[in-house]
Amino acid sequence: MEILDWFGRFHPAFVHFPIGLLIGAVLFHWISIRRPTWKGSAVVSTLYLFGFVTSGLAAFAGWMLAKEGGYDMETIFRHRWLGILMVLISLALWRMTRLGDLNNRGPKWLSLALVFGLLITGHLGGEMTHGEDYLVESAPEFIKKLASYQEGMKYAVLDDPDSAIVYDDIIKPILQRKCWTCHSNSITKGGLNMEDLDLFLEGGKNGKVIEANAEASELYKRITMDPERRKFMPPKGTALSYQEVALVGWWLDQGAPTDKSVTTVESPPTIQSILMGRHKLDTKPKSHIEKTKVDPVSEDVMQKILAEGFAIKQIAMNTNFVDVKWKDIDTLDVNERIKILSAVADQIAWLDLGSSNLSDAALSTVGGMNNLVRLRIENNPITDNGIKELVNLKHLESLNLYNSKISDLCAPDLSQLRSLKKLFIWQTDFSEEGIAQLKTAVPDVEVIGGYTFNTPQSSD
Amino acid sequence: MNLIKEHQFLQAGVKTRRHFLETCTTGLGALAFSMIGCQNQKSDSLTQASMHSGLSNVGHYMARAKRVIYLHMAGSPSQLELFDYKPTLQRLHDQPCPESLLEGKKFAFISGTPKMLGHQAEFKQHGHSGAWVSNHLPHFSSVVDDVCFLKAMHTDEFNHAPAQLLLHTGSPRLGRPSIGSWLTYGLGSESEDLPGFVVLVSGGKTPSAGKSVWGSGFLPSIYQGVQCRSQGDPVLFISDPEGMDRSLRGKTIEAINKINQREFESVGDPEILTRISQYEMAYKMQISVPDVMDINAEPEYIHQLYGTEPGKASFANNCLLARRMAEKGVRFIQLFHWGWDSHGAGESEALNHGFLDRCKEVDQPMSALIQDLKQRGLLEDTLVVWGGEFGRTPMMENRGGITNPFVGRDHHTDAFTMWMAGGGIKPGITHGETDEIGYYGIKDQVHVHDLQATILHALGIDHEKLTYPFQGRDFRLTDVSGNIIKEILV
Ligand code: HEC
Repeated sequence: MEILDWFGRFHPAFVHFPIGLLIGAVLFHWISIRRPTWKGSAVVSTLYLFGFVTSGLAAFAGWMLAKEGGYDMETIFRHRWLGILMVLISLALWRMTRLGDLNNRGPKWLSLALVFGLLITGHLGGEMTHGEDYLVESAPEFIKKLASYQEGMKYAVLDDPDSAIVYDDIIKPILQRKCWTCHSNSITKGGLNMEDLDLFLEGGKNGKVIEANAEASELYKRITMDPERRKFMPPKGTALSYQEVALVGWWLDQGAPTDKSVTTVESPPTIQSILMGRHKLDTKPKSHIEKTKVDPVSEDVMQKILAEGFAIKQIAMNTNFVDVKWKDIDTLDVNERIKILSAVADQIAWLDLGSSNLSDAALSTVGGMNNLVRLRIENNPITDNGIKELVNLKHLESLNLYNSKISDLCAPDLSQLRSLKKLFIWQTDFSEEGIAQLKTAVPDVEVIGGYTFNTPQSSD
Repeated sequence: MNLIKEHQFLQAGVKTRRHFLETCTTGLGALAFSMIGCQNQKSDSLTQASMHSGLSNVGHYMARAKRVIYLHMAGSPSQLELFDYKPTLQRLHDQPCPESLLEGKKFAFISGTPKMLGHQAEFKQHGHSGAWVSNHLPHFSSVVDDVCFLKAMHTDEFNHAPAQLLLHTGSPRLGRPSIGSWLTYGLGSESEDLPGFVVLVSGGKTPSAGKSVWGSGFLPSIYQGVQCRSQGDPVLFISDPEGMDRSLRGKTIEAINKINQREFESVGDPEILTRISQYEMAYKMQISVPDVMDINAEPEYIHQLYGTEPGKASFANNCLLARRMAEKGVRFIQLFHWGWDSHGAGESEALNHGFLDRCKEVDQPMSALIQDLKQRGLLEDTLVVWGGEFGRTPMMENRGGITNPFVGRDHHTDAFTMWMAGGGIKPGITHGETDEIGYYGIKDQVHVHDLQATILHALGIDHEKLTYPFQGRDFRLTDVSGNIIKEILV
């Protein structure tokens, strides 16, 4: 058996015989068709015979070599069966040219198919030994474009850390590229199958390879040990890069979860920057505005809102949310005009109606702005009744009510704003106790009342 | 619009002597050819920029702050008397400075071997954040939890004017637009009737680098800072002269603008648009500026909070004005307070005299500003920045090699402290650290270009993308450097 494995290693050297012989055969085949006086049919069929024999041997060696593993399985599948097809075609051509006329339609077409097939099979073989990008990598720019080759875009782009699964989207692709060639459903070196998740978790012939701690995992030891050692994984081919080792280690340290998303596990800064660089995955927690997508406000609607006395502006180039502000024009009444804002109820994220003589009734329009994050309605005659209109603003983070007529009575309504982080109630009818109670009711909200210096000691 | 004339104008604007000399080497034919090729590709943005309100006015990413109040302590206060507490320095007081610290260094005034100078202050930790603040800033000690300290700032220039220019325009030489100009150019103004960039000066003198620290450089001049005064006419010549009433003034401006508009249509010079909108703005400012500058309307408790005295030109008044302007939507409000250059060469600039007066002048108002912005909900989207143009040495200054009668420190570029508060900056943290005598930053150093990049970032602007074509290349505030200080952003 061992001798056959050794024989397999000769495949790369051996394949060049059939390639040369068969291409020679096809060449002579066509010359003989053009120059019937040559009478080359015997030479042609002999060359096909030699081609058939050597290609058969090469195929056999290839089959042995493939058993060793370490190659991309899809490519090897295609290479293997195309190669065997070539063996069969050369056999057929030998039979045809030995018996019949070279000029028949059958052998003519078949010979062309042979050349074509040889090129593809050879290329697939080359891909496996040299890597997929070998040819395009250093090709002129226009070829790269034709092959739609993009440098550095080898990894999937993941937009959303909430839906990116650590194992499926980040770790599995690494193992697939670098380990599955020897540890898969079809080849299980060391008794380890990484393709089948259950078997992977079970481990190899020496038991589990995964622990909830990188240092203790056989898998991690194998990829971080001295690469000169025989046990280093992968034993041939490209080793894991620094980033890949770090990611695998991170995944193991998180308890090797198979279904958790990136946001549900902890990621240290180095991992964050690796995820950013490799997958364009931003792990920083995103605010509501950054996470949510809304339709753009049409130019038409913008103009209408402007005409009603509001300033309206897109918040940033990368979002369609808008920032709206009452322009405080003395002659206009905001309470009559606020209805126009219903047209952009979904897009308003920041709204400033401070010092506009806003009434409680007008707040019903504001209450329908689903994505409102910041609301300034300070310096207005707003009372506790107005606050009732706002209780459904579930994304509201900052609410400015200073210098309005609200009191302790609106505390229960304010407590319903579940995203609220900052509340400004300086110069309202809130009592000291009322503020204290509110603070205990909503401990996560920063409640900002007024400020006076407690006469600090003199400086010298 | 006359397209050919506009085209010629734009070409003339981007052609420089350098272009001419360059093309001379290949002959006049090539010169002519280069003229054809030298169309400014950015002509779109040029004309756009000349519109009244900056570019598209939309930031590259979501802004944390909508406006900036920049408190510049001109002359540069000593970080070692205010924030950067170093017990080791205290122990080394009066010892000669080791030669190793002086090798290869250049100072503005120190010569020979100076002596180390311990803190001329007492330090304590304050607030939940435990920030070190000296006894010279008692009011400020009570607001440290709203502030983020940058303790390892550094700069390249050790003289006032170049250092101020570097800090405010990104280059130590004259001619670049200031940060306020860049911001109003990029984001426009939020205010209909006030300029987007206002400057208030106190302490008796304008900063050493002069008005170029709020100049617009090569940006259209509409973006330059407008200096307002708290005494007399808030803006020079803002009142109508005798015999000119407001309606006549209005008609005059209307007529002039019509003529200017016609001129623009035939020539296409964007500076004409600037002029038109300046006239319109000036007309509105005749009402709006006296209004916003009138602090008499403020209630008594506010005056007590800031320590203001109406009618005086003081830092306190300017802080209150800054808040009033922030409320009105002014984009960039820049305060300069002069007199921090504590060399110890005279009483007014000694750490044990003039410096203490400066501390008293700024302590309460700047702390009040933070609190007042906070209780009005303005601190959320207003970025407050405080600092000098560089720091001061841990060594005592020995001007001319002799010991001074007063205590002072020399200019120092390698380490100084600044603080920021509000809009998008983490409150109650200290970023950066200096060595045990406060001589060099040893951790999280921040260069002034990094500070600029971070300020622009807080306002939603990518400092690498906000550029302006001038003399054949694109310029930006941070030139070729600047890293955003990510660690201090919320
Ligand atoms: C070229 C084939 C090849 C590749 C590629 C390869 N391995 Fe292996 N692997 C083996 C062979 C052969 C063994 C059995 C001999 C041994 O234990 O060293 C093995 C054994 C292992 C074992 C021990 C299993 C046990 O229970 O004994 C682990 C763990 C392992 N490999 C991990 C990996 C990882 C991780 C990768 C990808 C980075 C990888 N291997 C890639 C050939 C390969």
